[in-house]
Amino acid sequence: MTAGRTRGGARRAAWLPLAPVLTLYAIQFVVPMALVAVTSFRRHESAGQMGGFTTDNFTKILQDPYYLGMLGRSLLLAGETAVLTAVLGYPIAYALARGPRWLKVVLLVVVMVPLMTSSVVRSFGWMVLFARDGLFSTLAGPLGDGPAGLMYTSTGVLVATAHVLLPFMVLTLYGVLDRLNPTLVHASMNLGASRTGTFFRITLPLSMNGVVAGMLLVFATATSAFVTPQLIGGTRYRVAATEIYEQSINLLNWPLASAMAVLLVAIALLTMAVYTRLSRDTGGSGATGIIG
Amino acid sequence: MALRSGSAVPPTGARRAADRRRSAGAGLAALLAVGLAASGCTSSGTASGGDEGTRTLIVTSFGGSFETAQKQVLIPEFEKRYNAKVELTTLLSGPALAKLKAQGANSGFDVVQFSGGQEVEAGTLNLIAPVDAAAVPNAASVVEQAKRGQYAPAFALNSTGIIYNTEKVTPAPTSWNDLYDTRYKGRVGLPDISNTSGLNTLYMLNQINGGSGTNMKPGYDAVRRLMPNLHSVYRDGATMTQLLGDGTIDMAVFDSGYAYLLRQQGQKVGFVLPKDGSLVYGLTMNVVAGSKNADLAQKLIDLALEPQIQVEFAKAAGYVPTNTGATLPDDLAQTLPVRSEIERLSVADGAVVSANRAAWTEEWNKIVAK
Amino acid sequence: MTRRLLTWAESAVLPVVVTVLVLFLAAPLVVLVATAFTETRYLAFPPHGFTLTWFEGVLTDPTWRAAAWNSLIIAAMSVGVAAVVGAPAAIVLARRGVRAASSLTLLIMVPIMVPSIMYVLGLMLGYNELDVTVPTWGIVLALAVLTTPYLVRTLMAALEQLDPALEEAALSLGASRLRIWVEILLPNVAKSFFSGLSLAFILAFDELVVPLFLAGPDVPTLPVRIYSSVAYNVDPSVAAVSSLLVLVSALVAVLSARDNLRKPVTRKDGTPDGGA
Repeated sequence: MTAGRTRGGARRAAWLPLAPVLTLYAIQFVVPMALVAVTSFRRHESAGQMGGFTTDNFTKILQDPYYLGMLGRSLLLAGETAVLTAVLGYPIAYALARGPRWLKVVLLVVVMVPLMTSSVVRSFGWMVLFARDGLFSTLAGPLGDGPAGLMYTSTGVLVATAHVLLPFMVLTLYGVLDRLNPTLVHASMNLGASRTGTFFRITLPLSMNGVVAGMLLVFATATSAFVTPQLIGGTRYRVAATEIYEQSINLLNWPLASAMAVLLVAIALLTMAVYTRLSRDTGGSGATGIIG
Repeated sequence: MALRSGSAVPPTGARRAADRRRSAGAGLAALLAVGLAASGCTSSGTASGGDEGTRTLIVTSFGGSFETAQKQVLIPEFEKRYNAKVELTTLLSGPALAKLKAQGANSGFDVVQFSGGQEVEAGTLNLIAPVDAAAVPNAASVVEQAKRGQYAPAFALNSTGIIYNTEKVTPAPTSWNDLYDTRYKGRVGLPDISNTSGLNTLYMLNQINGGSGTNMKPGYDAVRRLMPNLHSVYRDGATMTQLLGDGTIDMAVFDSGYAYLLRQQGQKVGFVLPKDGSLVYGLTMNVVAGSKNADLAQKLIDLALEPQIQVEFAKAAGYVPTNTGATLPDDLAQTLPVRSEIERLSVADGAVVSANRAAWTEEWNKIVAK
Repeated sequence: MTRRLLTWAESAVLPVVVTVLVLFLAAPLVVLVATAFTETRYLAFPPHGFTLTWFEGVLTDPTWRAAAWNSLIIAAMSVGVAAVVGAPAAIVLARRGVRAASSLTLLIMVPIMVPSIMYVLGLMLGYNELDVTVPTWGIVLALAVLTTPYLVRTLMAALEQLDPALEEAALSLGASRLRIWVEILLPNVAKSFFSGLSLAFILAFDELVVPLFLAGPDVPTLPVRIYSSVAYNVDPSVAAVSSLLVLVSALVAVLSARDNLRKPVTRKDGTPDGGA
């Protein structure tokens, strides 16, 4: 049935299946993004009222230590979460890839259940744990910092955010570790290397790509983390995403919210660009690989 | 319906799927659907609308014990009397006003409840509709403090004060300055400025320290000075209850309603309206301009003003009735802040508050941020 | 000597570390389930006493049921949209049917690389500009944008890993293109496609920020309802709802893990599927 078609016609027809997704993206993604970009340059008159064009919103964010600190806190939280999930996720992924069958099943369940449970529910779970008479505070005893344990602290937000994003890290790492050719490991051990030596010389370096990919995925997601900082951090620990919500929903300062969002996205895209560049140099699968 | 495109995929040959790592997710959608359906969402009719002929009012409420009390006292009676349904959505006064400003009647609400005088600004901006005196006959018999001109009067009065743990705080606090007592380092809680009680706190701290509506510096400084004692800043009463209840904090600024409730629950707390002054404020229900259910909304407002309902509401939530015909039983009258006490309190200047709320919020957030 | 020490490290330390991590992952969920049985009116862990009242209350409360139902419908519809727009794109891109296929693939992945709060804010501003109530399909489409990348990625991965020889053999035996698709290609990727759908469904079902910014009060979704309860009305009934969700997740996870176990998960050495 494709017989009569010219080469050019076939080329053009080949684009047809892409039309729906591109249309959806254009209306539901490109337009709103553009709207935010434009809004970020509008002047905030009063709640919900916008005036002419200005760069004031960006100057305000970049010069006021309060807003700048909020962006910084978001980045710090994202960075710490990326490191923490990598450290915590690696042993799980390793056991998942190398462990006996029963352990695989147990770990898979333990990782999948949180992944499939809404982050609202999981943050709520941490709220209960962090409460004064919660288990965590009881166990931590005198070690618990401050009277209410980890509730409303940056450490508490970090722990809960790491928990929310850990499954993503584990699955990314597992994907890489599982694909590692076991013959390499066997060869190394046959050549007399210890198991641990093999791990540090073969397994870890070869899976580094996955670690970086996982950390970037976690970093990008954590920069816009909203629920956990909102619920665990409370009113006094504010990050960019919670402030965007506050400014856009409660204070109706849409230009300021938009400018913060633009800066947040710029940072996230920059991270991705660096990674794509990095992985191209090392022959990795690029930014799209992280979802795989 | 959309799920069908997923489940219609023929299962044959699936075993040879190359991407085995993905198989962990298989069957999730259908199972989730089945699981939740089995756990109680089988009657789908409740999702929206309800039966034909039954109208639904969508009303904002403040959550916590306030909302619980409305669900107990007001809503069932209204639904019974007018064969209508009420859906309560938790939204504090500030966010509710913001939603109206951003979307007007498109917000989907028929009635919004305010506690911080937001009805003044909403009225000026024509976001809420005046009520018809004939449709709300009870509006004629409210106390002076509850009157709102052509808009619906307040259905309850509330006041901002200090709730304290009677076992840990001795002697009992009497003034705002007692919050600064060094013995309570890290053991004081304040409501956030997004909550009416929080705004009132800033307003009062400013006033007693010599500030005014145009000069907030004394207020900001007063909050800043309180930082060593400040443990947490909560947005809502439920969190305050938790913090005070489990002994995390000893003193919390909040409203008389919650103080009453905590005492009802048997907690050892006291409530004081500081002698250096505090604010009384009305809780109002307002018809959203452009609501298609304005007639029904006014009936709800009228019911909330009815003496018997107000007494029941006072029993359930501890707010002071506004209808002059509502007489509280003696025991209740003793536990609630009495009207004479409330009358000595001042009312925040609504115009000043609404003009400066955004600026105050920004400064407040900067001060309390860690 | 050192070797034995290191082997010991792997056999003794790793299990301990993994056990601790398993506890860490499970802790907040287990605690939620436990508190849902408390007899107190506030959240208590460990729970005081044992009661099913909270579950009963939640299951008979029409607002929770409505929220759950809304979430199901909205998630299902958005996954449907994602499938309709995503599947053709995945097929074309996996086959490198167009020029710049890899750039286009990257483009399709962009929504998950961009903080979702930005485009959700943009959508909200857009609807404000249009001065309309956000329609339910507005939430559906927004969620479709969020889930399409996952679906496309899963389907592409499955298609790319199909052995091209399969198709060539069928072609040389004279099978029509349509028959090849229906009888060979589709059945082979059906499972992956379904997995992708499931993942997308879960993501859409659990999404909070999109409905929090966009949804009106008449279509509360479950995450929004839970969020609002946790923030303003916290009591054991929220824990009960959460427990039910955890229970469903656990059920699904156990079943799919068992499914995994039944089939040989380990690859035969030397098979050419370790590429990419």
